[in-house]
Amino acid sequence: MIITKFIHVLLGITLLGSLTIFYIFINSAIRQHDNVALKYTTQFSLYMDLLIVLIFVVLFLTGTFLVYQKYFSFSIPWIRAAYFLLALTVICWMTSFIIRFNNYKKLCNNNFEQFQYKRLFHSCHWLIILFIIFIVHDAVTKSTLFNVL
Amino acid sequence: MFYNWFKIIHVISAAALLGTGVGTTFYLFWGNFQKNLTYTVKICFQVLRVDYLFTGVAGVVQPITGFIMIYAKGYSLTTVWWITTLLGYSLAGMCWFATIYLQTQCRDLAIDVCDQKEKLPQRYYRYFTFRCVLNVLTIIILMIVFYYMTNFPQQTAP
Repeated sequence: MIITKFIHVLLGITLLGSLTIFYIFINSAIRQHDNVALKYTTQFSLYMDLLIVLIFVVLFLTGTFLVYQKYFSFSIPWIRAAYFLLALTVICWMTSFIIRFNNYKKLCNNNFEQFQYKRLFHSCHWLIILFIIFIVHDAVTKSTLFNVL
Repeated sequence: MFYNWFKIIHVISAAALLGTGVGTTFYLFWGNFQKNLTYTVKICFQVLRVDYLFTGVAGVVQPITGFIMIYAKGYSLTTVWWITTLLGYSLAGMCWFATIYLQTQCRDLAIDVCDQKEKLPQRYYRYFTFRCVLNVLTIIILMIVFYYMTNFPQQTAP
């Protein structure tokens, strides 16, 4: 259980920090209208998405494993909320992936004019940060703001 | 409730400390192999800014919230767990300061070379390699500290 909890917390904070950093770097390139930096940064974030997929999978597995190890029930509201928020985080991240991939293709084909779906991209990343903070809140307080679930 | 809010801030600042550390290390390493001097200069600036803004602030917030939580729980400051954590954190902090110094040197060298439209000197790569090694070392030390954090002994509480 010691190792499982350690891996779970470690990957959770790595996920939050890394996703925030990639967002800041891409956002900086968008704001400065620097297409070269945007191309490299987007390419880098797409490569790093392979690592992010792995982190999501391991987070889900270690989280489920911890529920069994700590004799929690899946009907506990904050645990249900954690799964729900993780699913929402994955959806937002996948949306961001599609937006970045489409823009990267345009950058490579030299038909890039401006970053498309910029608002949706920003919203997705702010929501990801918010959802992960909610998950941290629920795990620490063992209660949830999403009791309606 | 007061304790829980500090714990939430502590965990989120840990994300800013370690998560951004991992992210910037990968980014810096990857960006330096793109062989684009203008981009390298940009990366040097961005990474330094992020290091100050996120890692620096989180580095201050972490011990403050940590001390508050220890005080709130009434833990002893003479336990092996606490001393090891403090030593590890101090060591990581020293590595971070060295990293910042090397990153500043890398940035200045890259700016000089970019202005004169030359290739990056051997000194840059020496600083860069040493910086990356120190960064990886910092991440490993922080992981050990986090291991202690997630497994703190409950029996130390009075």
